[in-house]
Amino acid sequence: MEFNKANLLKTMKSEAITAFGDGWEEIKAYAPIEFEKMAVQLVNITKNVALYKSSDKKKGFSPATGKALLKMQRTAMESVFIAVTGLILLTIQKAINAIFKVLKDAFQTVLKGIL
Amino acid sequence: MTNLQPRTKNCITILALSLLMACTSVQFVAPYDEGIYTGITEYKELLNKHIKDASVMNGLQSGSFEENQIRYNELEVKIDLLIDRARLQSTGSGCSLVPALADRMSLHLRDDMPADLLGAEITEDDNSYGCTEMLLRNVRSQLDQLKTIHREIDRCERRSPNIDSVVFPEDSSAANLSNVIDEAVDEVLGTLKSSIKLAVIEHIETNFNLSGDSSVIEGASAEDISCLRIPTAQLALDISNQSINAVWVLENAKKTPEE
Repeated sequence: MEFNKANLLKTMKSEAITAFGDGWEEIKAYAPIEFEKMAVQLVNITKNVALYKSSDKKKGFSPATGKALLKMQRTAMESVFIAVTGLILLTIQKAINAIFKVLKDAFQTVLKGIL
Repeated sequence: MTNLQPRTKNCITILALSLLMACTSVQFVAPYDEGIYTGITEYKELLNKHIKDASVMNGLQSGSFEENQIRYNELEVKIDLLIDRARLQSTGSGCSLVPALADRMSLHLRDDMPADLLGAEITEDDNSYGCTEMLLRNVRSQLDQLKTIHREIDRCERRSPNIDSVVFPEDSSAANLSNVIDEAVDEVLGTLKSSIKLAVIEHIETNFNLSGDSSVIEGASAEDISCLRIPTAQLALDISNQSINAVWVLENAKKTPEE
């Protein structure tokens, strides 16, 4: 392949789409499921606090426990964001490395002398 | 660069490209580590078992925080080791969001947005935790929160263990009595509720000569005990697993086809 701007751009674009495609699919599959879990758990926390009050402390859990569980849920939410961040960084990392690998392979002959 | 000759421009482009290509691969995130993957799996197994066991034994002495403190110690040691391991492997580039995404998130979370995620104002490497390390720190933080609930917040009414499991020795000699006290009194008599039939109490008192200790039984039945209530345990389990699974998801994504 001729070493010029158009070919460089073409190679980089096609490789980026491939590399990002897998990563984004992973993020798209992960995040919504976790957000759904959070919603269910938040509802359950409030339900159990209400149950505790209505059952004379026999069922559910106290408001103090509910507050502590909410704190835990907040941390879990942060973890999901961090994981998504990590997945994004990983996707970018994979894309950059893949692009350079392809460029290196495609333009080996041109770059051979200077590498 | 606009004043440079086309040939010079090409030379600079090739030189820049070759410099980049001569470097090792770009690394924003620490590579896959089998030790962290298996370590967090073992931690999840231990934590899940601990929470389930404690909730089944709620109201019993064996389900109290005091009886489970060693399990918390084991879990803490395990997760702390994993945090150390992740820290040692951190690339030093932190776990910062791309600016556009960080802006959108900070708009929603405002002051609650973790500084490390924003990536701004990070000037020292000490504050630049890698993503895996941050996730493991969250797992640790949730363990602390669970421990607080078990130790200080959740209370259960004392209840008796399964009476079928209580072994009444044939020989009620004084020698056996001390063993019974050591091995069983705290576990069994200490948790007997006042609702237990008088005949059973009389049987125990007669055989073990414990008539003078009846106040222990009455006192125990009236008070609550530290515990993990069943709904608390269920939710704590689900929430903790979310953070643990986040570590799993990220570590799995790091795997190369060879791994």
